[in-house]
Amino acid sequence: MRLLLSSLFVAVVAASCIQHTTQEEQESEKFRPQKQIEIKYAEGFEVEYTADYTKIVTHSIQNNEFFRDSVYIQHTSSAKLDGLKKIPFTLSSVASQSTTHLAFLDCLHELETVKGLCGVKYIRNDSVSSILEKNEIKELCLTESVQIESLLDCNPELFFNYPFGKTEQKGFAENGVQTLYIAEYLEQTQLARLEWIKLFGLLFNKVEEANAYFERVEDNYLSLRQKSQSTNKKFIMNLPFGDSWFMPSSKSVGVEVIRDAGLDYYYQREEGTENQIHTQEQVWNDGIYADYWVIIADRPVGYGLEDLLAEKEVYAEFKAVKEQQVIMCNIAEVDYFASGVVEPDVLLRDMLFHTHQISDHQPKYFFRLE
Amino acid sequence: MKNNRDIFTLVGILVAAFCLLGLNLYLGEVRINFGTIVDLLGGGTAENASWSYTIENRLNRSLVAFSGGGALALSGLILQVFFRNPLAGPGVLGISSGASLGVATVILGGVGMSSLLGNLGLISAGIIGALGVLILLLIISRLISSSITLLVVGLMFGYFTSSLINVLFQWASESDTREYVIWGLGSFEGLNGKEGWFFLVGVLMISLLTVFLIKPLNALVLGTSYAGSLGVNLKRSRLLIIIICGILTAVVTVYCGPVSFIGIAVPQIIRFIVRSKNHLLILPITFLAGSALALLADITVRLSGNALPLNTVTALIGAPIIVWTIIRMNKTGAKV
Repeated sequence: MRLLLSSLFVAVVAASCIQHTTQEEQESEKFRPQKQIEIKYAEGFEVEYTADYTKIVTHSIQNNEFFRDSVYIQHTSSAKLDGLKKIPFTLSSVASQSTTHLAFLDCLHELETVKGLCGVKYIRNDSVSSILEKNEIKELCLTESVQIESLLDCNPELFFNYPFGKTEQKGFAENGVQTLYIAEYLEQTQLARLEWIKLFGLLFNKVEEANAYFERVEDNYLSLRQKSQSTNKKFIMNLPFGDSWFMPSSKSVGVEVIRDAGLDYYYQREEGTENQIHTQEQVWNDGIYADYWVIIADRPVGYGLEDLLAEKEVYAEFKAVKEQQVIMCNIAEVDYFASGVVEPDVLLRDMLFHTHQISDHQPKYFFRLE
Repeated sequence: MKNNRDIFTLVGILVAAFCLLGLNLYLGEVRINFGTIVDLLGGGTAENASWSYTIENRLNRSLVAFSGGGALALSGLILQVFFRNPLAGPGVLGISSGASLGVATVILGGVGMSSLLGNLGLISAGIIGALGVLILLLIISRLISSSITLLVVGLMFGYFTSSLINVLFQWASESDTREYVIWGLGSFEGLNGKEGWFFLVGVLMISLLTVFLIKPLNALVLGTSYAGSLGVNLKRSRLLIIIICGILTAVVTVYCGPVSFIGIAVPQIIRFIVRSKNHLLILPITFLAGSALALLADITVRLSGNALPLNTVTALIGAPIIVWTIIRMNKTGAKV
């Protein structure tokens, strides 16, 4: 009797351990990402999780021209995704229309997957260049538009592109190239822009790495911002093209990071999200009083204060020039538009250093012109 | 009587040009009162140290607009008489395109050619490009009798040079490309104090050479055979026209970009207003009218906060005038 009861108990326990999963459910288990992503700042993408697939949607934000795009990561073979853009669980070959996307891929150590790129010659980061050279990466944009033959030759599983030139998009689909609009540049804060790394983490099945990277940089950024103090000092930005001075919008991320360092933007009251065009004379008029002049521009390597003064005599009258407070990010020398996107904490640290709020820091992007 | 009326026109346009020059000094995004402007022009100081530079900048661009606009209008008039076509002009005949190709070769030519060759290189390249197209046009003009066909040839030169420029774009760096695109939008801004005065004096001196063209132009209005019978040395006149128009167009195009419509539109207006057929009077009136139109365009550009490029403004003013000319030609069968 005891033997019978013991056998019965073992049978019940064993039965409770049997998993009544179907093959599809097992696939689902196999394909489901390790961790879901939580979106805190970014407004331009969202993720929808189901048992059968993960849907990634990118879309326009606020008043920008409308667009909406999506791709599906299929978990089970039963998922009904006919006619939709399906991508593998982890991408092994991609192409990109922007060098900025490379920064995200570099953080996730996925540069080897990049087979084609627009603007190979504009890559400023030597380590990125060398990896891409080993990949024998193809230039996709010999002209302003994407060369479809080069793109087909790369045969990427997914092509990251911009949400403008929508007619091109149709051409890609007709040729069997799967695309996804990436519009991180539309985000209005540094952290929102950085948060797109989570989307790339999802695409490359590296959610945990992406989350960890984001959280680390976010922590750094927020704690630096907390440390910064209002300096009551004003700043102007950039350099003119001809007679037009394109002053960044007060809502731009470039302005945000300087403001977070405790400086006040001279054109803070101006509305809109686009760059504001000012005449040179207006900026000259204000430059006389601005405490700091922060320049993000493309100038020859080794560009200094003397070179700046050679451009216009009036600059010698600027307060920032007189007090040696011209801070420059020369994009010919540093990778501001790519790695700067994934290192907002370093950008902020640079600015805090130049405004004498921290010491013992080696600037990476912004340097004082001397 | 007719001459008196035209002299009044000359004086009127002269006064208008100088008033516009004064307005261009006064108007701007930064408000500086008239007394301060006069002080600054006299070497005084102002409460804001940037204002002296602002007034200097406004004066320079006014001088460039005055002389550049005048030079383009003058070239347009001479070419219209020479080609006996009221739609001829530095832009339509491909001369500006030739100058653009020269400039593009230097700016987009790679390996920092623009910094290596500097302004002298730019001017030389622009002049070579403009003269090259003009000489080719002259050679072809001996083979083609129809002036309309010649205009089409000029347009073809324009397309051809644009294609060559597009080829240059392929190898150009991002910053060179941007520099060329901005130059292509046209602007009277950019010359510093000395350069502005050099530009003015240079253009005026070359323009003064047109004195030698007065007699040939008066005769050419009646036709080349008639001009020949009047003792005009056609070969020499043609050479002089090529050199003067080519250099004027090239210098203005190099510094200000390919400024459109002034060269075609202004001679049309002058032809409508002025009764005299004597180029002793027509040439200075055309020059001053070109100056006035260029200054008006520059004021518009500046009042728009630079939102409107110069070529957009000149097109808005010039294109309706050209359409009106074509309709008028069609109605009257008018010739130059």
